[in-house]
This record gives sequence, structure tokens and C-alpha cells, in this order.
Amino acid sequence: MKNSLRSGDQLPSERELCEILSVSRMTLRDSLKKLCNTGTVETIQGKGTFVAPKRIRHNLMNFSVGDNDPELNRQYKQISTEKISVEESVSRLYGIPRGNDFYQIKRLLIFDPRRMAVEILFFTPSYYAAVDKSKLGSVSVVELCGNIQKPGFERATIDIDVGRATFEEGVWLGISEGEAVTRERLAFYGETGMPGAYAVLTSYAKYVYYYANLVSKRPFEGSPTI
Amino acid sequence: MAKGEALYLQISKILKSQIVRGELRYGQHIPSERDLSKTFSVDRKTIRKAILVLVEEGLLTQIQGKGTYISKQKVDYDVNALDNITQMLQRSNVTPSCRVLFQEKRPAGPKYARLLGISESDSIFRLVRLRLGDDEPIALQNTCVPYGIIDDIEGIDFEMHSLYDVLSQHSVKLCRVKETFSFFEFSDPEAKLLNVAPDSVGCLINDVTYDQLQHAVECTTTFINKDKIKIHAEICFD
Repeated sequence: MKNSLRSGDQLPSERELCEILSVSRMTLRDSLKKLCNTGTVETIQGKGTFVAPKRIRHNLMNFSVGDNDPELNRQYKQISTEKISVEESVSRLYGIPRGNDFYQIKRLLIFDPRRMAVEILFFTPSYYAAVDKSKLGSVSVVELCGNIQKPGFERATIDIDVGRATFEEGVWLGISEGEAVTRERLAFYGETGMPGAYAVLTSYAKYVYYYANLVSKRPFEGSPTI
Repeated sequence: MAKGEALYLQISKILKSQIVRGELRYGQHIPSERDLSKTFSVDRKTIRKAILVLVEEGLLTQIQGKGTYISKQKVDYDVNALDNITQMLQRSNVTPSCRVLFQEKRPAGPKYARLLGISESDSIFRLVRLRLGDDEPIALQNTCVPYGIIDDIEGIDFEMHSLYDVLSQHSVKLCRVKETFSFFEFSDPEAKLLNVAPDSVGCLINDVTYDQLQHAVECTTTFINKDKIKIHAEICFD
């Protein structure tokens, strides 16, 4: 596929493809299935097979999303803000200490027209007070947290896991329940060494990839063994 | 037991420490709810809750009609530590091994020429390896090295020697790694080789390693079962 088909383009029908490539229907279906599994094409029931949109880059070096593509039109849609006391189910799902008060903000990250991720942010009351709320509709959680001066954050960690979309996540992302989603759990650590904010980003697994560029100060002699 | 914490959480912590210490091992049953409720002298509802915590954490797997088993351990893939499969496996207390499925000398072709920054007609050495932990397949790797940077590469036993070791021995200085991770659904033949169900979710890692002159010295594609890997990274704020 040398770029003659672009994302969003419809593929010819199965019958036409069989003729063009002079292969059997079985062979064609196998290879389409493989392309579908890797997220290269997607089949929309009743409409046909399309070249899938380009995956969005999540940069593990600075935790930014889509930073390599200036054409992306980024929007955050706020869903809700509420003060919660973290109970068991939330604690278990997001790895947040139980029994504490947090401000919980739900947002939807949209790269027009695609709904990219559901974002749930948790701030302790003191950090919530320092958040610039006017930026909630426009900047990422890392920018939001990075701009907090007092009490300020020192470092952040990310853990990425893949699972199946819950019904609610499916509705927000416009995918079916049970589709593969990635869950990024971010924790922001303040001077006390304790996290003052958490964020959980759920994205459709086939729309994202993660990127790292690691430069070693000294050559790493043999010890890492890929 | 510590005061103040819910009973079922205390029990799940005890069970967890038994799993971590290896007293309960992968594939084993945990004792029945009835036995556990006797051991801890609490009712079965509390035990059930404690077990549920560990099921959700992924330490235990419940199979209907069969009972509760210890899950396979997930290993952390620490991005910042220039981590790799052998180290990951050693940390999780399994014995790593490697099987070379295929090796060949071939022209780079458009894809590998682009990745390695060489011309399409240049030769490369391609190596397909199955990585195992305790003899169980963990990852499938397709590696390409520009031909000629390692003398007599065909004579090297890659079941015994790691590629990075071999490169370092040939005075290649490894200075930078570019990696991408993405998720996909398995199809054959990868699913068969890794012994996973077709359409189950897998992780695909693409990496390119560069020397001090920023020349690519190898590129590898790794297919790995998503249950085997958890990706971790860290940043600092100014």
C-alpha cells in the first residue's frame, strides 16, 4: 500500500479486490482480517471496508498526545466536575487511596471529528484550588499540572494497560462495549512525595500508539539485551 | 492485623504477600472459601470480597465451576530504564530462553531500508526469535541488522548470546533507542506461536537502536501477549 489509499478511503468490494489481485475470496478475507486486526483498515457494517485513520501518537517522554501532528484540532469537552469521597470501587479501578476527598473532573478529548479519549482527573482539594479552571477546556492534564506553581508538582508517572471498554466508556468514545481500550494511569507527585493529582485516560486501542526516544548518557554496553 | 483497615482488605493483603513471596504459585488453586474462612475466622462474605480485590488486581483468576487460581504474573516494562525482555523476565523470577526460528541474509527492501537508513539493495541479516520464560512462549521478535557490522554473523548462536551483547563485542556503541508501542488483535501465525487465542489483544513494540554516530544498528518488531506486559514511564517537571 504505497499511499495510493488514504485514511478514510473506501476499499473496493471483496469481489472487485479478488479480481484486481487475482486471489480467491478465502485468501482475500484472510488478509483483510489481518489488516483489520492490526488496525490498518476498519469494516463498518453495511457500509464497507475503509482505510483506518492514522493512529495518534502519545509521547512517553513528555506525556503529550498528538504532539507530532499540528493539523489536529484539539478540544476538551467538560462532562462534569464534582467533589467526591473516594469509595472502594473508584479506588480499585483507578488506584487512588480510599477515603480521601478529591475533586473529580470528567472530560472528553476530541480531535475533531474523532472522540479520542475519556479523561478522569482527580485533584486533592489543595491542588484543585490551584488549578487554572479557565484552561480546563483547552489544555492537557500534564500542562494543567505543570502550570501549577504552588504547591507545584515535581514528577509524574504513567502506567499503561489494555482492557475492554465498559458500557459507559463505549458510549463516550463511540465504540462498542468490550472493544479493546488502553487505560493510562497518571500520578502527579508533589514535594511531599505523595500524589496530589491522578488522571485516567481511556482511549480506543486501535487509534493510539505510544512513543519513546531514549538517549543514554553513556553507551549501554550489553546490559540491556533486546 | 493492623487496626482501622477493613477486614477483607487485610486478608487480601495477606493473600497477596503469599503470592508475591511465592508460597502460592502460578497455576495453583487457592484454598476454598470455606477453608479460608476457617483459617481467618471470618465469614465467607468477607473472604469473597478479599478474593474479588485480587481478581480485579489481576493476581487471581476465577474460572466458573473450577475455582480460583493464581494468575500469571505481569511484568513491568520500564520505558525509561532502557528495559528489555530478558531483564523483564529475570525480574519476574522466570528463566529466560530463546529459540531462533529463522535467519537469513537478504536485500533490505523498502521497509527495512527506511527504518535502518540504508539503500534498498543493501544486505541485511534478519533474525526471527521466540523468547520464552520457563519454557513458555512470551514474545516473538523479528530483528534486522545491516549486514557487515558484525563479522561472520551467521556463525553466532543467538540462542546463547543476546544481540546487544554481540553488538557491544563488535565495538558498536549503543546510544539511543526509539520505541513505539501499539495494541492490536492477534492473527495467525503469531497467535499459534505464542499460544494465544486468535483475536485476543496483543502489544506490538517497534524499536530502532542507534550508535554514537546516529546510525541505526538494528530494528526489532516484538509481538507480546498483553497479559505479559505493563508499560511504565516517568517524567520530571522543571
